[in-house]
Amino acid sequence: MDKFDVIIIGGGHAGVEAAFACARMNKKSCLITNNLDDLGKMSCNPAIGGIGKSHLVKEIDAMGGLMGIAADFGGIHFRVLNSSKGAAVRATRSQSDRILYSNKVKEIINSEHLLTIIDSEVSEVLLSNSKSKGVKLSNGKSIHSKKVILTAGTFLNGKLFTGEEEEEGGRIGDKPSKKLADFLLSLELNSGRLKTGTPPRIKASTVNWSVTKEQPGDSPRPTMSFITTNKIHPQQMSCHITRTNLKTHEIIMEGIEKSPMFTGKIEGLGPRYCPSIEDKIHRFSDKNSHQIFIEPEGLTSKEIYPNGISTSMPKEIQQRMVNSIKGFEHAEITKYGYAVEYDFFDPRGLNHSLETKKIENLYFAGQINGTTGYEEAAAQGLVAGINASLAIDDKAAWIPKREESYIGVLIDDLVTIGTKEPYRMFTSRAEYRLLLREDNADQRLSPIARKLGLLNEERWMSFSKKLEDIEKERTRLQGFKLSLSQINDLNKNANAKRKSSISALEALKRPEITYERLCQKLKIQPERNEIALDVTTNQKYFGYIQRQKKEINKVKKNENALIPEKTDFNQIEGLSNESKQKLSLVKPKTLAHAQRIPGLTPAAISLLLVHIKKKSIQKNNVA
Amino acid sequence: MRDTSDTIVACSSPLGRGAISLIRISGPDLSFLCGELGIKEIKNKEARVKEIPLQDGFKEKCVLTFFKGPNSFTGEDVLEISCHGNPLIVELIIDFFVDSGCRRAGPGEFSLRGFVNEKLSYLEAEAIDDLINSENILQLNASARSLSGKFENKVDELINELIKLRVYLESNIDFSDEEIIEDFDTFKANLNSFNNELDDFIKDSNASKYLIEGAKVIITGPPNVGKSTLMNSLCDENASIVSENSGTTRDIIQRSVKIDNISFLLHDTAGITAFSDDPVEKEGILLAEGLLSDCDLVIEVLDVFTESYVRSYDKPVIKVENKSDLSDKFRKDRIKASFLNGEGVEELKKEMIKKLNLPDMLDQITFSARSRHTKLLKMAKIELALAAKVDSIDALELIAENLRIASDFFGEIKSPYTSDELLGKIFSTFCIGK
Repeated sequence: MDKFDVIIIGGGHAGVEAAFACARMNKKSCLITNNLDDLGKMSCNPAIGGIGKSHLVKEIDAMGGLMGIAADFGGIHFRVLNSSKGAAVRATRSQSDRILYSNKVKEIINSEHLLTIIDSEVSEVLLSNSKSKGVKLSNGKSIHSKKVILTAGTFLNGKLFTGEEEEEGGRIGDKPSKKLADFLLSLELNSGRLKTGTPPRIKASTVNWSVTKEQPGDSPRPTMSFITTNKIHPQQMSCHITRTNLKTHEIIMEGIEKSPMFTGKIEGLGPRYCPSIEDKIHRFSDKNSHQIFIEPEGLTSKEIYPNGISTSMPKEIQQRMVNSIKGFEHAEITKYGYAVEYDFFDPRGLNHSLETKKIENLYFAGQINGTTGYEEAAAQGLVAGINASLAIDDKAAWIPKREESYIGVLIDDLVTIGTKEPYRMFTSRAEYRLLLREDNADQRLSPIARKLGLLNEERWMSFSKKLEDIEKERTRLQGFKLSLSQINDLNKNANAKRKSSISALEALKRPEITYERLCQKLKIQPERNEIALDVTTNQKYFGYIQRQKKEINKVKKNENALIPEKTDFNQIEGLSNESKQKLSLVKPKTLAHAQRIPGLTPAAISLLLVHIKKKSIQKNNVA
Repeated sequence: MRDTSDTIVACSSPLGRGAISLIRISGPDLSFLCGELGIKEIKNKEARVKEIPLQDGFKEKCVLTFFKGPNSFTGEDVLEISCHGNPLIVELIIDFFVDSGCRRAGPGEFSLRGFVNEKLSYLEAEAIDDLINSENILQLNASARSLSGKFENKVDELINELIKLRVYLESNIDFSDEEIIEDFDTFKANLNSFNNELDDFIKDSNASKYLIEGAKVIITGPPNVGKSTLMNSLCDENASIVSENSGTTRDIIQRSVKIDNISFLLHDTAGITAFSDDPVEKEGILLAEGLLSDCDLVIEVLDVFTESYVRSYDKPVIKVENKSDLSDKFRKDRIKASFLNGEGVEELKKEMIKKLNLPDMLDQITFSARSRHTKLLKMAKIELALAAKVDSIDALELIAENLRIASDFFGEIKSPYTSDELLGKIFSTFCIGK
């Protein structure tokens, strides 16, 4: 008899979200971490959300997850990015107080009575006939479970670099999970090496704030979660902006040959969107200055996080570089920046459920799959937690779809395309971007979450109320007729000609007519923001949404063209070896999935189609 | 999708009498087939003389040339048989191979196999097809240039420019916190000049499409006004059934006629009337309506007795009024014609060329395009025109959507590229990242 349904290894953002999902799905689960303090720890910069990422947070929240709530309880600075653009690309970003954030995570996790938390180090996953049966701790003890979710991927086989210094380890102060790393390597999964870096941390009291540019949070202040209000936010702080200058660049160029990135010591590929300062100066030598966001680390923290100068230069150069920057003239470095190189496993070795193809009952989530970012990790944790629980109940996996969520885009990209650099979410990765708004994440996902048993009554009620209010508002606006002159009044570039009168709802489709002005004109009380936003956006995007839906239906046809599970791609005549390899690695389940594999030519796809058809004809003939 | 696993046979030279005809066979069963002919071993690019036994003891002496896959045009084993240029002999040889298990190839099937076996790109496959089907020297030149990649190069060039436009939009959306120097006005100016370039390209593509494929013409109008007679007088042949009874034309009848080097594919439609109860006729009408959306030019025929007939088309239209010899009254906005007497036919022919809006110098068309290409280019153009209309930087995501769809259409001409490549472009263009 298994002691647990699910064991979750690791207590980072993927681990806690996975554990919380299992608990909500009534699975007896156990989270094992080698440092209880690290539950929900923000180990890099103290921010949640941002463009593309906030969409993930809202979706996790709509699925009943914890990240959004913790971000609200820990948030000391909130801004909506792209606020002047349309709703689909608006994104909430929050700075967190690290302590408040992880405290809230611990509080939520600890209140789940089906969840046990163990402070220990896992040395291996117990296997029998390529199936996982539990884990073995480094003290020799075994714990059995039906499923294992591995999220302890932060900096597997990590190597830290500062200048020419090199040490083994994960993040500074973290114990490297060496035994587990060795075990994982013994599984002979496809692996690769990635790198990332951090900036030096600076003592807040040594910054000359008066010469930096203050960036206060937004007012009114947005929230991360659908069910919180900004009243629960703690005291707020500002961010500040400063810049590098030519002197800074000179210092860096002087020491660049000592940077491990350039000495060739680091082989892993770093994220293109988060280059180190030496990389930026090297590659964009015509730029005289780069922006630095000075982010607060917390209400009580004595450090700041200078976002934009991630570096692995020698300590002495870091110090001089920092002091060359406006406002940092007398800054003291509390921790030096460093680069870290680590292992990840090719996510194409996973099914969409995040179960490994090689070992049944074993799921991977988080950085181990080549992603970067708390949000990306949490989203995978959620998916792995849900699917491990569903599998225990003998139910089909939940495969989030690309047209349904950024979570779907994330999972599908990972298992189909894999990644060469740390994978981060961007809105441009989502082809159905206009459908996947932050503000409608609940409409897209909460009904699914409810079915899966992930939503408590409180969330469901609040969501149902929102839907009702949206419908009411649409009906209300439908009821008002606007005359031609009224429309032209509202519309600066008055060119309404065709119809004599249209409904107020219809009028919202016109780009220049805003909800607020419409309500003024009709002398009616406006609905609350979230309702107004939904009604307005659905009208403004109307034609585009219709089209995207059509496109989705077109793709669905190929999504329904199943590739039989046992297809041996090497047997398909005429396929190039490269195509065979790609198909064998990803093992697509549908024709649409195969079409998304990069580098597969239309010719290869037609051959695949012919092969499937031929097989099905043969099968029918036999039957 | 056609099956590609069997062995196909077809005559690859034009049907008709001549010195030599060429029969081509491609597929996995060639060794077996050669065994049937008593050839034990076959070598790549080897030619042999062999007698093929046909009906009633008749044997045809042929030259057999063998190409071993994958180093052949289709990527499969290929056999080319040269025989005397007599259609009967060709048919008998094909029959011989069909009896031995081959299948008659459909149009373009050899090229398809070459494409499927990655011997040709899609655009190359099409260009080869055009080269073969060229009917005059203008076409021949255009398709030869296309095969040398001119069309593909131009498409690539446009795709690259489109990527640049998208890079601006996507980086402004995904990295709005960063400092991106380009401004919206510059973007708009670039978009407009891209649109102009695309317009020119479409015009050339259209002209080349007419050269290669010809122009599709629909002859339409109420029943019994003389549509079939018109078709006959344009073609100098009795193609359609002509009778006095209303609604005689049951099927769509196609004829091809050449005017000034351009092929016109004429489609004589069943009289388009919604009141017919005859199921056959109804089907014909439906077909005609499908054709209407797919054609390049409409000729609307009325006669002097037609009372009122108002239809609108989204295609260029030539309006004709027939039977002018039977009445003094006629509409002024129509070509006055009496097809029975040949009156108005020359004027109509001139108008048909004029309406195609061809560039002056047909011999300078640098590539061959097909309706598949021009259709996709036009769809992309519609998107880009919508994007150009958006004036506000606030709706960047909507412009981005139009451009995404436009680039999907370009992708359908060529090969698609992923959002990851787009991101790569962003990172290499701008210094992004804190």
